Amino acid sequence: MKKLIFCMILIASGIIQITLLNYFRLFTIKVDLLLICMVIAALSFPLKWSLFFCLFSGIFKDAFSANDFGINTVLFCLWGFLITKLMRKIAIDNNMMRLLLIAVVTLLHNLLTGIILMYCGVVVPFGVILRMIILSPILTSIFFTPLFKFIKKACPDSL
Amino acid sequence: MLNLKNKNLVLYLLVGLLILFIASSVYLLNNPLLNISKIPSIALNSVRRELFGIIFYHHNYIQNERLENEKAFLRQKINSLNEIYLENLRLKKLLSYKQESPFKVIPSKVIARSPDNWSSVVIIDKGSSNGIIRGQAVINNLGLIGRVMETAAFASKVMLISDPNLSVSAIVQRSRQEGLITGTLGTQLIMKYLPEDADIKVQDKIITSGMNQNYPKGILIGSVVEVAYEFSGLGRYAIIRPAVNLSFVEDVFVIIR
Repeated sequence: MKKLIFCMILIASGIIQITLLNYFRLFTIKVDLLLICMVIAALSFPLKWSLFFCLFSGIFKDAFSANDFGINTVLFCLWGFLITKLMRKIAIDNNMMRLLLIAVVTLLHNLLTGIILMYCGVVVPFGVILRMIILSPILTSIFFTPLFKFIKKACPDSL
Repeated sequence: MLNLKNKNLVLYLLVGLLILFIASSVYLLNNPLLNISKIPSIALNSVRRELFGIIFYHHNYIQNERLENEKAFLRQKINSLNEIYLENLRLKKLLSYKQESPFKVIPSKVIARSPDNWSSVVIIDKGSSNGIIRGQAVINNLGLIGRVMETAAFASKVMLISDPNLSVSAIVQRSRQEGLITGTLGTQLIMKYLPEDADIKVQDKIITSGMNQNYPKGILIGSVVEVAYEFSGLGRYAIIRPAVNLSFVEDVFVIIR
């Protein structure tokens, strides 16, 4: 049941990200709700289910993007896998650690996406790349806590 | 950190290969997802419209009054222009002018946008069932918006000119200087491959050159805000402000012929 609720929240987050979030952008950067859901899934579910939710959110994101290859599908699964492995070594049980984790994951995700795009021959001005790499982790971290608390209330057993 | 055993390693490799396979076939899921997303997107857009209507009631009231006055003025102007248009038609017929056929367009609404910050894509509510095919140009009353990059039966994906993957052959309206417009993911565009002695100035209008069949000649792209030398010093580039505010585009036309 909690997996179904989480799946519904994931779909709702995706739809909000492609519609309403466009009106809440800071310097053309918007919050990555799907990435937040992916991190929450990795923190809350066992590896198998965490990978399933990462795959699902990655496919959702790629389907509405301009990429021919599913960059987000691969990266989301990689982050999900690494977070699950990291949790066996480090206790990520307080808000500060979770915020740090989401900031690092967003930073790495944007950095890798930027490098992959540049490698594919897409020329993006350095200022724009810098803006995305710096602003995106800050914005995503700000939205992480409210969404985490909401999911915690919606499916309490999983968190 | 990982401490992987041989058995687990094989399993992880298999899962990794499966994920790579799925990632490379993600484009197959685009069409069904585009079609499915249409209904919730339209519903959410309606909710947003109603909410904004309530929040900006005072602003809308004042704007409505101003627009009513403007409407009356424009109605008079349309009447007078209609007369001139009819007169023009009659004279052209008399002089046997060859009239170039205007664009045939399909009006459409933007229902969703790209979820990530690394691409500028919008989803529109018309698809292949309405006669839209890949590659067609998308405009609005102010100028060029982008190009159709994918179509499903009832929705299409449009790549905006602010996306760095999209390049449009363009000319300076005043001097006919040619160049290539590319997106930057920001609010401005870059016109590249200008020679050192290019005749281009700030505030020049940039239009499509018609070199590419998909973009008819003469569609306004934007105006020049800055001209500078490239790092190599061999050529110049210009920063262009798009005629259309691409962040908040809502109604578009797809040129189908």
